[in-house]
Amino acid sequence: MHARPDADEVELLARSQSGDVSAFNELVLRYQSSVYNVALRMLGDADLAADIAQDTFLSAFRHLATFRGGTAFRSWLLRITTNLVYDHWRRQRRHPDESLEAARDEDDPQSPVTLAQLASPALEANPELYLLHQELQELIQRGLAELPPEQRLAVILCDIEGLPYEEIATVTHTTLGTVRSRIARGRARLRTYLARYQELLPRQFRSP
Amino acid sequence: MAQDHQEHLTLEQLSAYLDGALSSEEEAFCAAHLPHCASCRSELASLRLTRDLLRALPRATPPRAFTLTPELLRTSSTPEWQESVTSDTSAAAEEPVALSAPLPSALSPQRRQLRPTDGAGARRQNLRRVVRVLSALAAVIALALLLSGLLTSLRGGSSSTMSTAVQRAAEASATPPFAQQEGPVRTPAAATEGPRGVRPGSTGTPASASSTAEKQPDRNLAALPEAALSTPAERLLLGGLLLIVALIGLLMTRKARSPSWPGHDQDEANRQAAH
Repeated sequence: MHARPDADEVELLARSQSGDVSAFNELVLRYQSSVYNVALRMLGDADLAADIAQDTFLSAFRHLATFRGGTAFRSWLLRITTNLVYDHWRRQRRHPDESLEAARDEDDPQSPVTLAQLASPALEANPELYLLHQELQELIQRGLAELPPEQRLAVILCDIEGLPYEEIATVTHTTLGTVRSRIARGRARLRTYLARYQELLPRQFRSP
Repeated sequence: MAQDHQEHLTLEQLSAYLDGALSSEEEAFCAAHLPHCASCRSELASLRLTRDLLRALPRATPPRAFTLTPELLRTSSTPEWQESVTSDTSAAAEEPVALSAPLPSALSPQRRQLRPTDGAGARRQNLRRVVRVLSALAAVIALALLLSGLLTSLRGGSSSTMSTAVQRAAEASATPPFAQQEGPVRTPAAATEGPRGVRPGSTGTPASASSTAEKQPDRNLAALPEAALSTPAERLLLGGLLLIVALIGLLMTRKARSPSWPGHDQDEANRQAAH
């Protein structure tokens, strides 16, 4: 269930903790997709997500000493990622004028993920799922953005990252019961949101 | 909704059922209930559709590798931020929102350039704040000058010779604006005392005024060169000029980013002149 604590990873971690950057970079390559995708789905902004991902690994490397083997390394990383995301929102709230200005720099502040960024290894792995057209992808991303942050995070970790409930509880520092409730409420809310756009959904996804 | 009836499954149960995350007891309960309950089945189906849509979202490939380079490790050393992140990750906080915020410099270098809060931006903000305060101060002094100029010109403007007593009175009358700032209670007293306090015992009035306003910056005013302020017209002129400078300063700092700071220098010069 938990991210496999394979011997390889244990060794890489030990080497990283003794300051071996190249060992740590192997771990980066292993987990960067998870970290980046969580940040991307939380924020809906590719540039920002890349910055958060980079900062996650920088911070993780600096604090490897505080990482205790008890939890999965992925959970630890994702917790740093979500903290950085929350920090970003806090900063934004504190300096709304600046974030507005920063937004004006970009063409479209809410610019959802573009199709080019969405290569589809997941679909090759799941041939029964066909590519959701871009309009629908953007709709889902907007729906996610409508969720309260803690529900959004739970749904992303569960349905997009495929984490088990136990690991989500570790990442979000909550109980299993809270995780369960957040996922349920998040899904229900997203369902209500998507139901408004029935015509965009593929036939097989329309409510009966 | 399903929760309305006791016998129906809850939203949480249905959602967890999808993930196989129920206890074996609950799971058995759900499995037994669903075949007999169309409402719960349809609820479950709609939740499943939502989940499948989320699962069908393609994963994004990271735009670059986030591997650490010597440059990255060298560039951003941010002690406070590190502190915040470590304590965050190990703290048993219920909500991540409640955790302490890092410094803005936590962002990667390329982001940093976009954000005006950091480095030079912060310094500029401080400078802007200083200019704002100075401008506000200048505005207050300017108003005091204008007021005193007006009062003296109304009162004794016609008389060709200005006695020192009148001058003192004018200076004393400059207090009301400051008194208003400190507290409205003082205003009437200062206002009545000012103009009427034209006494030969000329030290009396300013002394009492200064006793009420020890912290007030208008002592600068009293110390202004008498030659420069001997006539109401000059006071009005100087007050007007100062007011204009103050307004420019305030406006510029409001418009914010433009890094042209002549107003600041002028303010500084004016203050120095006032001393």
